[in-house]
Amino acid sequence: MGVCNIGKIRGLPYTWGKACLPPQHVENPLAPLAPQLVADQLRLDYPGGVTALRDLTLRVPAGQFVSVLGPSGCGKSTLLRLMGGLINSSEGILTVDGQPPSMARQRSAKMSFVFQDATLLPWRTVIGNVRLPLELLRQPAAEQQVKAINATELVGLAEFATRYPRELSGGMRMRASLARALVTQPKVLLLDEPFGALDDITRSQLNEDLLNLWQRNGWTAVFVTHNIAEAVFLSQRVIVMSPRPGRVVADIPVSLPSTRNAALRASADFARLAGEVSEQLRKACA
Amino acid sequence: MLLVLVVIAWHSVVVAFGLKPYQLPLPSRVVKAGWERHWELADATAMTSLAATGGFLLSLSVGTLIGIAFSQSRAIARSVYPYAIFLQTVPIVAIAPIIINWFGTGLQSVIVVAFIISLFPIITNIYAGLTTIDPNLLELFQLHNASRWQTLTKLQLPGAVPNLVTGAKVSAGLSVIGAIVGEFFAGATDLYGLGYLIPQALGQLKMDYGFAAVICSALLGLVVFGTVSIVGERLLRRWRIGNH
Repeated sequence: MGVCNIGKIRGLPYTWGKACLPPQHVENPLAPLAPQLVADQLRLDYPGGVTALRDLTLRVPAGQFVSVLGPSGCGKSTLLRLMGGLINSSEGILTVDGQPPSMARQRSAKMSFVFQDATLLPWRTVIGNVRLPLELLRQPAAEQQVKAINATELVGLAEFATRYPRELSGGMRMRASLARALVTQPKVLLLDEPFGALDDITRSQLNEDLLNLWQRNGWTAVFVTHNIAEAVFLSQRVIVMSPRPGRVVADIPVSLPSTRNAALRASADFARLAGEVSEQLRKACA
Repeated sequence: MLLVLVVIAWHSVVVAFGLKPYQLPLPSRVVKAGWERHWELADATAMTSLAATGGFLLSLSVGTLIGIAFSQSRAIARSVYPYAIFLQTVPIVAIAPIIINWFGTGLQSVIVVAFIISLFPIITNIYAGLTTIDPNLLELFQLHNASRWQTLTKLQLPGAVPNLVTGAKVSAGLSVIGAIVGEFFAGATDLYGLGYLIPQALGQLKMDYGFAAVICSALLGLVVFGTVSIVGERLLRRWRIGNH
């Protein structure tokens, strides 16, 4: 006691003393240098000789919203699955909070995945689906219920909580899927083209809602998409990948105001950025 | 409607060819014979349906357990599956006498025959349901560090319910056939099921009564199939994804 070693070694438990400042005033010199997701010279070979990713290097700081664009089959989804620890890389380093993803998933960083389809269990209601991850994590039942209700409210599905997936529209199912991803209060959110199957209006609405949720919760988000406007609108940074074997060929910072709304889509800045991303994507595919 | 046509055609054939009652009885005689001994028929139908239901429920539970065992280990599935196929290919009339030799001539043997003939569709259907799961859902479970048990009880088993219903429909019909075949070989001891009544009536050239018993067994099959279908559809209402 009385010894203050905040910030000395990141990741070790802090010891508090009277002389210590509250944590928010402590500048941790390592913090900005320690990105949450690190991929270094990552390579993935599928059995049968197909190389999905080669020399892929990417660093994503905690709390950043990154979109990944690229031609079909360039390994975007594969990258997400590697980050989630669902598959293992063939070569290179991939860490989440400084640990291999499958380990990070069990120890420090809760990760959630949003799939291309809503992938809800048809025999469970919306609230039952949202509660599922908490059940799998064996949290107390009362806590599960409270958190599930909160997450359902967060995505605006409170009044549909007791409905079954078949009774919902595609957009609402995707909201339920989003609530299921958010219910564990993840640090890292991996999204695999989640709005690809939705109509434009629903997609725009969900983009705005997702952005709003991100601003309030600040998870690290990696968002795979085919849609340039969506990528620019949501992200702080857009990554463009090459055709297979995929690697990062462009890294475009998105310098738009942090409060973004529908009007932004019509602005000149937005058009310029979208044009730049489009140009890079075209080059990548050439 | 079709039933009326069939009865008319049946009647006309008997009249036109001048068939004797021991060759083909008139529909009216069949009804009359059935009505005269309707208590006996009802008892026999109840007996057969008891044996069929017993065999079917046994198939449902044992088949589900075998399916689960198969789904948990490829080695088990590979080594045991050929023997399961044996169940499907072995002629039940060949194996029924052996079973009666082993288990005696009582209800238990008839249930075992019904069980053996109705087991296979349950195993194959539930095994298919347990192993063909949306890969994204498996990834979701993996992502939240789900145990094997959690994956089985919260994903695979509920996901296999539609397959189980399909298997149960086939299996229910087969269990009635199995029960009748079993009774056929078990003979008259403590039970007088339809499978005993039919050969007995035909042996005594009581064609009209034999026909009535055959009709009862067909009706029993329909009722069993219908019941399983209705229960199954009820159950499946929650399983439908909807058309999006």
